Amino acid sequence: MRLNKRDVLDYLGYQGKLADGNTLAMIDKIAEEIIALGAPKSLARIWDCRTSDKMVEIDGLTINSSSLTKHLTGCSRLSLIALTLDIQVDRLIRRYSVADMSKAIVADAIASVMVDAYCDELEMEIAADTMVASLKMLPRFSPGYGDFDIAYQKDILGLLDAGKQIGLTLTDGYMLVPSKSVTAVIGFYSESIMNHYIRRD
Amino acid sequence: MDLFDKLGKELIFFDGAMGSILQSHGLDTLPEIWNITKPHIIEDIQKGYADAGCDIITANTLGANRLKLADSGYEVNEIIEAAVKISKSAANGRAKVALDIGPTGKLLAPFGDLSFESAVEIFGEMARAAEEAGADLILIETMNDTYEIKAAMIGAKEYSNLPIMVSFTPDATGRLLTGADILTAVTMIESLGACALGLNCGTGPIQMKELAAEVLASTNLPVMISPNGGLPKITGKNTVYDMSCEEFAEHMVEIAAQGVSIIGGCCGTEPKHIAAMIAACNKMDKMSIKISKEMVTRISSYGQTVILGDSLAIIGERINPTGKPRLKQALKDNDMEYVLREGLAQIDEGALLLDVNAGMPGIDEAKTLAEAVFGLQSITAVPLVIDTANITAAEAALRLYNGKPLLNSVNGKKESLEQILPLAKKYGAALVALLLDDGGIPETTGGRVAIAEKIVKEAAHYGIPKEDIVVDALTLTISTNDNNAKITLDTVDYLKNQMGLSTILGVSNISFGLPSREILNAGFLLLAASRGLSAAIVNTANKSMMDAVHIHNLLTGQDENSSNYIKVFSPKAPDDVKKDTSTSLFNAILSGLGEDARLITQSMLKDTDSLDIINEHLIPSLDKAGQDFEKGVIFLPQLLMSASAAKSAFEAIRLHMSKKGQTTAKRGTIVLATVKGDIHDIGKNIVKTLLENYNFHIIDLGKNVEPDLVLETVIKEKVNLVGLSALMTTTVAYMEETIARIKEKAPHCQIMVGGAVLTESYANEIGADFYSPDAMGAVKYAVKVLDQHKAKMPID
Repeated sequence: MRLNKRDVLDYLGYQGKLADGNTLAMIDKIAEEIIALGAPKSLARIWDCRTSDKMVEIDGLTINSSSLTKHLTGCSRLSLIALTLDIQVDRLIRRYSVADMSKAIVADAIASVMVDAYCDELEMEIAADTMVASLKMLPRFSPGYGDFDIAYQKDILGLLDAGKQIGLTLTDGYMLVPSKSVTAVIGFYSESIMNHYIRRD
Repeated sequence: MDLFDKLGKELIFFDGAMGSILQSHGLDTLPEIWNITKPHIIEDIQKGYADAGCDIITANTLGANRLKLADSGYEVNEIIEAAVKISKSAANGRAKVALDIGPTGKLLAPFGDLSFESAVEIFGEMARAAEEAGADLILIETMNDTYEIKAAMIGAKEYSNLPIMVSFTPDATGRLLTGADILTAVTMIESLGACALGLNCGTGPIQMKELAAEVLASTNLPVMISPNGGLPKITGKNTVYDMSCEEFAEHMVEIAAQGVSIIGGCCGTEPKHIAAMIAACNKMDKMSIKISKEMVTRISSYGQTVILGDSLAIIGERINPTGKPRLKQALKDNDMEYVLREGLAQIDEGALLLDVNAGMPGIDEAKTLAEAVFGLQSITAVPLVIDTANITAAEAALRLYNGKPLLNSVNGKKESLEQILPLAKKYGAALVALLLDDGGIPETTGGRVAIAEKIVKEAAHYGIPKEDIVVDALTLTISTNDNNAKITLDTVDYLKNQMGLSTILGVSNISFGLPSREILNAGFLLLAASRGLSAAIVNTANKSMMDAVHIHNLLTGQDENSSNYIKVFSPKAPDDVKKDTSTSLFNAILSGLGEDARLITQSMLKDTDSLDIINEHLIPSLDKAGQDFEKGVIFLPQLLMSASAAKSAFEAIRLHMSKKGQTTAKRGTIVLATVKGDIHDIGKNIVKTLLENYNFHIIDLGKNVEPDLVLETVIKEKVNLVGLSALMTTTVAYMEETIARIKEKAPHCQIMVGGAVLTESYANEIGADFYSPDAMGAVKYAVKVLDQHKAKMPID
């Protein structure tokens, strides 16, 4: 895992500006601590999918969302992914919230950036899967984007058996626990078929 | 022979999978619903297991809890009643029937939103229904969180009288999802009174052998092992386990030969696997099961276990208000963060365990102690010693504790034994035993040993083994009797070396009334350690005492290559950041140097009034940091580093004033809460940190807070300003509800809101008085509202 410090600083509101030595040193130290808590756990599975007007269907799940449908236009397959950092990361952030709030926000920012970076790595692995290797991959699309209701997180976690497999759960208000987690849909399309559609990404 | 007589003596066979077989029957709903709609399929499978020769059939109830059944149209009771009935019919007297309890699928608070008590109820409801339906035992399985295991075991114990077996599912490295290693999980489960424990699911029999060995090495209870039918292969949408019955049986024989008492199968196993397993095992020599390990005293948390043995375990004593005015003030103010910071500081200083005591007049001890325990176990894996003379407080804290705590204490008085022993047994606590009784503290070693013998014997009546008794031989001051040290030391020696008991001492009493107490205490500690003392309760900030511990460990061969000694005692290079008390407090805070800020404040307090320090130094430096932040000269981490430095300065002032019996006057009270449904509170915590720096009194209600609790607090504490945070659109609805509640019943109160999904217009729409995009905005609004309110009292 190579952490992009620039991303962390942007997350902390630096807007491209330089950070002081104290903050940079703190980022290094806390990043090490988080990495030492263990690798992320993830799940990914690929389904054949059908997209129609405002609706995406895979075996066992129909998603009503015009944003997602538009995003997946022309896709024949999709992958559902779930990824989570260890619950110990939540514990670390909580400990720092008591001991030193500046460390808590830095840890929070690092963990958020790491989740994204790990998702990027996971995408690369999925792209190499034989089921989709010949297809083009779209950027991941998560519940909460556009009108893709966050309640669908429950279905995604259910289809992946994420509670049992990687300990990723939901609260009643559809928040992911552990908090540093992602669920997403990744679409795959065939370039030749895609010529029939006009994509507007 | 009855199953429970055979337990631990003969091999017992559990059944195999249910869920994965139902999948192949085209399961299109929750598996438990088929107990009602397709009972014949369930019964056929279970008949297969009974025919194969299983001793225990598991009812089809893994997910039959009220959370999972919520939208199913079925009640927990009817599903469980049907399931048990099917299993009994399938067993037809040939096998016992177990209620199957699996995870709720939710994570418990504080990280998730399921409260411990709700979890106890959810599991208890299942246990009661099963007992009423005629189940013979309860199997808690496929668990990956110790806290949920504890809730399930307490629920099962409170709602039924059925025997409990517990089986959990670690990952390949032997860890549970929430952090426990095998020893730690086993330690808690054993202490809570399971009749057998072990592993199921997660992996196949080959991989499980090593993990099984680890379980066997850490318990004297019968061990149960139920692996999957190999490793899963995902082909298309199906998950396939393709180990042959013969191969499965072969590996299970090897697992049984390790000394396992109960074997069965999990996902991917069918009656034919179990039949092959039983046939193969019946050819084995019967002598595999061995349960005869010497047990040691173990204290655990959610994530680690401390074994009291030859090395001296240090217990931090500072979370105890006796003689500590600053802590008293914090407990009175419900300032839990101060308590937690005291805990973290002691861990940094070398504490292996933390004593937690909240006993002082004028507070609700049970509530405070439980909050302290809950707070500490949320941020540290260091196990806790629950220290109270209040039985209600003891129960509240023991109940919420995630692990096997040490309860301080029981003594030889009849009343104490009768109250404390059953409590320790129920909640699986080890006990500190004080060697005193109705006759006081005996003045002879023989007298004290006799009390120890009495306590150990009484504890055994309740099923508490002697390794769970940690005896305090008691330290009396040497200045009143020349023999006092000798009596204590001889007692420690006898308890440890003749009776095989763990021991504990608070040593500082020895020097009461004498000069140079620290040296004397350290010397006494070394002597006690050399006689076999297992644990000492000390102030870890006391250098002489900690030096004695390091020396003890070095000289008793527990400091490999003297590395710890060298690390502690080598001359230190000067700190990178020089502690510079010549700079101004203003600069120290702006530079975020907490230790400097504290030292400078300490020296200023000698000749400067504390209010002057706050108003003329602290607040201006924070204002400057705030302005720099708004101008984009510094950023959030630096702003909070300054805040943290200011906090250290404030802490020095509070300590100074509490020693003089004074408290700092606060600027006004603000209630902060992250609304119901929302568990992300980092934004609220940033606001809190800054507001505290501006000397506001903050009542932090935490996260996932009920609207009514906010309202009650506003009314009870006569509060004029509330800050609410919400991160998600789904939870803004609760923010709106909270605002409406307050506006109706306490219209004088102003409400400011913040959070990722909010905007100014959204905030207006839901009735908030003020929206702040960042923490500094909240501070400015608080200053405006509360300084204006100072003159007039709120409307009751």
